[in-house]
Amino acid sequence: MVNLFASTSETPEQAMESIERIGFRSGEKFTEKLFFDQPPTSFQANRVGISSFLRHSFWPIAFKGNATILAGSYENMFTIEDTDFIWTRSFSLTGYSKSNLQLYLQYSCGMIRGAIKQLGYRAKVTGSCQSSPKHCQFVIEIS
Amino acid sequence: MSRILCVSICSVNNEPLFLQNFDNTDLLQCHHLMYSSLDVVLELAKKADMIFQSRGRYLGEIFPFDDQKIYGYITPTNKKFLLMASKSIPEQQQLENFFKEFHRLYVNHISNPFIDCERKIDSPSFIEKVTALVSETNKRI
Repeated sequence: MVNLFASTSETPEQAMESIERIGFRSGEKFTEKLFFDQPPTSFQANRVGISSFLRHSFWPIAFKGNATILAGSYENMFTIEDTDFIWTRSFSLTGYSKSNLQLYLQYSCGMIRGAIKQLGYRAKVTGSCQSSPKHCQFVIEIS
Repeated sequence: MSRILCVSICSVNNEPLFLQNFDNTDLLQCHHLMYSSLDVVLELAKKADMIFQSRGRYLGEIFPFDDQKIYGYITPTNKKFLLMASKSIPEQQQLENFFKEFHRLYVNHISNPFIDCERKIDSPSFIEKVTALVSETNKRI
């Protein structure tokens, strides 16, 4: 999917936006279904609640892994870190550049943004890779 | 014997996403009543701190108007489901079951990747399923 958008879009920014938008829509529907099928045990719709929802309910089911939450520098910003991100797990360790990799993370950024939107907040999500492709960090800014 | 006259779904910003009337009820009146009862829904939900509970919450009877009664349900993602019935329905359990099934139909419909969550729902299969659910529930109330 990433290759299709990368090759058919006029600019790389456009490709990123399209992939992110697709992720956004699937994130919305995913959260609706999640709340219906497997509602989290306790949930509050404030900023703390969102990060704990993402870490405990959303991440294990959507991305089948564990995530840790790091507090950000501002009050409405936090980072989710996943050391074994499922979709970049099998990427090779050499021969990639950070900007290329970001394209592959855009779908997940969109999913997170869609989930937060269903909870009533707008967010801006940026994904990046740290030391290796499978160690990913998503910076989430909630407005 | 009470009958379900009208069912509707309102989005987070109180836009009507779906409104279906049964038994040839006046559509305009349905719209009017559903909209007037939205204020009460919001109030009830806030009062009991129900906004964004983790499960869908049945709010009970929210608006008595002449003979018709309106019942409400709010989903965890703050979508409101409203039901208008011709008479007061004593068995609340049947209504709760109805709303739960309705919620399930809504989630299944939304899972379609070609459907936008914010747009009006006008898929004939959804309308068919809702009609079937309503006639099923009408037998039990």
